[in-house]
Amino acid sequence: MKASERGAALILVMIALAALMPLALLLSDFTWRRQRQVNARQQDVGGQAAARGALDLAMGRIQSGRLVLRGPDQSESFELEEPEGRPVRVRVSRQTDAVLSAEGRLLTPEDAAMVDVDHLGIDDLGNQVREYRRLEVYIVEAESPARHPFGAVRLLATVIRLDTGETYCIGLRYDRGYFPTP
Amino acid sequence: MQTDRRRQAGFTLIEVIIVFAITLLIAALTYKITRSCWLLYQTQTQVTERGFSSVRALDDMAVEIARAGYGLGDAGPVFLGRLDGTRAVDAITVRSNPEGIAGVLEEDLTDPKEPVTVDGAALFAEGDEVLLVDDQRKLERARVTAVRSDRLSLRSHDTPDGSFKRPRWIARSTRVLKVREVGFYLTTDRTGVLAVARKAPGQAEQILVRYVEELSFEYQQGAHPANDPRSLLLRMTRSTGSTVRITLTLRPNPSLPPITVPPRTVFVSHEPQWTTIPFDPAGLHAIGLAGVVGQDPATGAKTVRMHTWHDSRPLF
Repeated sequence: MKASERGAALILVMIALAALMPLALLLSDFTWRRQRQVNARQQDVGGQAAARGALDLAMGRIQSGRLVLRGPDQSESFELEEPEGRPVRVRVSRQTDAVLSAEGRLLTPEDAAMVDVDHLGIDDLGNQVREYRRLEVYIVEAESPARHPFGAVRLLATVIRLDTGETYCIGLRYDRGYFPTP
Repeated sequence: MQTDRRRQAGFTLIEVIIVFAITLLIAALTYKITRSCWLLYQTQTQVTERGFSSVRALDDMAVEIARAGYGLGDAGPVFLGRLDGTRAVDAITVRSNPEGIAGVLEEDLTDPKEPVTVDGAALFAEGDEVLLVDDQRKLERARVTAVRSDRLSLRSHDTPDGSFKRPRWIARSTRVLKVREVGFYLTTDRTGVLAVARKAPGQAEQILVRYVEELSFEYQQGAHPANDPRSLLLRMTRSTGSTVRITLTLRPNPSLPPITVPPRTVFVSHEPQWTTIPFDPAGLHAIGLAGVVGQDPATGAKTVRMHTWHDSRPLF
């Protein structure tokens, strides 16, 4: 092939590539947009579900005694990272115990120190009724970290553990966004 | 000599016509493909935008609905209607009490002009929106019009003159709960297009998505403890989950190629926001308990604020 023919062939190839390039870019743009839409949904729903699962796990550990915090200033952190799963940072911190009276009063620590929490009474029907219940109070924080450009999902929950061992969540909220790393 | 002449002769007419025809054919094909791609691009952009907008709008609503009732205890977390208190299927008002501020009436409340003593009055501020809730879970929305040491002046939101719909709110069995109400509703934007809007306290109305065909909310109460056979023997210790079904249908943007936008439906479950603490084995004596996580302003440490109420729902 002569030099001039090689030049013509090159120009032809360049023109063909230039014509095909926008089409390829368009197709890649479709894919990218769709992928982004799916990612956003997956990030939001997956992050929330992962944080919720971490709360259930933390409650299970508190109830079973696998996670023991002895005082109000103690906390424990752990990370959940399962294969194919989402990493979740969990922090459980214990608060000052609460004492709840049968009249519905939350006793102050000073008042609580002065009462017999195990005291039993008798109601109008002759049944035994406890006068107080001691509650262990925990804050559970679970965070599924941000994956740029999607924000993190953070869960904040108040969990109580009764003196009989059962645990209950008495308040729970989700927040989304970018949070400072503790 | 003959070769030189052939070289100088150039192309024959037939050759030029054939090349011209092939060029035209290729140009026509390229044009058609490019045009189809452009149309496809615009259509796909519209499909993606409509899909993404509906997903984001549903997600915004779902997050708010999932945390409804935070800090409110057993008081109605969701109202199927507008922020002004009118019922509507295309609007939802989601309530919470993120600061966990609660009080109990110490004397009967009958007249909005008369301040009443409230246990916990100091936690409230003038202008706070509150819910009055009795032990039968009857609700009335009100506003704090004045705070004087341990007394609050309250005015109903549900009547034009501020008088209370109920003639008497009974002392000790009525709670006063600070409430944050976030509304999602259908509205018409500045250009006259039907849109879904979100309104939260202290924030301007935010348009979530435009060109809306239909928005509806359906509240599905969870299994009521009274319908559970175990409730004949024991008081159920917590609320069972209720759900909100959201259906959102969007119209195509009229300035873009026509597409079909399928309706989207999402079920949102309420999270547990309170529990019942039994004081006897049968749970005849029980106290409701709700809690929120706050922050100590001095140390920045996280703290829990709880409030309680007599859970005197009839066992049978």
